[in-house]
Amino acid sequence: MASILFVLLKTPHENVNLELTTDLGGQSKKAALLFEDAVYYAVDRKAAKHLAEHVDEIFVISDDLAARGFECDIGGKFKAIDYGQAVDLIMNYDRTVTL
Amino acid sequence: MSQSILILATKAPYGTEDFFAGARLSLAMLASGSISRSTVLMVGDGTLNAIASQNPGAIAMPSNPEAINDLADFEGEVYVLEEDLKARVGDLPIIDGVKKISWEKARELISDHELVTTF
Amino acid sequence: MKRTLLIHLRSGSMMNMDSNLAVKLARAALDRGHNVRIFGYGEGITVVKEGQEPKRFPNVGKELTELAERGATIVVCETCCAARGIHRGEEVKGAKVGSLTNDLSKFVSEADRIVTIAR
Repeated sequence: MASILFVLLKTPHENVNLELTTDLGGQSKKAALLFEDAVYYAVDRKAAKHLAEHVDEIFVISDDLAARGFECDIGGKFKAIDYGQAVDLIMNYDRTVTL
Repeated sequence: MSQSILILATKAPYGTEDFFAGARLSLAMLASGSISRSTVLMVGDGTLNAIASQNPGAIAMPSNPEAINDLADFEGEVYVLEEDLKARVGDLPIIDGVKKISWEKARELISDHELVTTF
Repeated sequence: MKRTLLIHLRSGSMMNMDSNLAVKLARAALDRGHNVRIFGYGEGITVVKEGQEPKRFPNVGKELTELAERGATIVVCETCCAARGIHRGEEVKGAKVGSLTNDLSKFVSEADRIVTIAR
């Protein structure tokens, strides 16, 4: 099974169907890579829990988080990264799917 | 290096041009002769593009059914997630050549295509 | 290992931060030693229009030229350009108006990974 990196760009309250991560990913290794307004998943507790239920790992662009007024010291499945690390993830996962 | 691409269609018809653009991209990949497999998979609201009774002429927009039919000329595969379509509109007739599939088959398509792009 | 990243951009130059994301990802991929291809489709074609002069926001056109100077290949869809009144010869230096069939299919065949940046 191909591992999948799901790319999210929108806030948790915009129209994103997180169920697709499970429907398309099944038992595969799955991660979410959060850019732009999607970094709010890291600070919205309910949304963070919901996303964490769907994927194995969650990566947040630290610059995007800092720009919005939040610390990059986040825990749980969430890990703050830079763009170089984002490129490494894209290369390491078998598929990248934007939702 | 990739020889296959999956077009994941997630948007409803006519509110945006996304489905038409995705179908055209798929057609171009097939017509190029350099990509061996370019497949369209409709999920979520994207499944509404499979409805046979669409009449885009009513709003003078390009036809998504015609865009699907054009893919058939190049033996392009088009799939619709049956469960999502049913949840939205029940058992309506779908465009000839579009195959209804389960999530299990959809996951196989993800694995079988080297690249996935979303519309 | 040197690989090829294809960025499929469908958001416009100023409609949101997506074009800036495309630039940042491309820059990071080049920094990592990878090949970069950017294909602009739909509204994504507006990033290559010459003469962009945003007063406060990053100048995506200039940034694309810088990426091209570092080896990135940047092409946008001709049909989408014509629809928006942008023509060959109006691209920023280093970018090209091209086609799905000739250029994107080549990019797809060269790509190890694709990232779709769109809404």
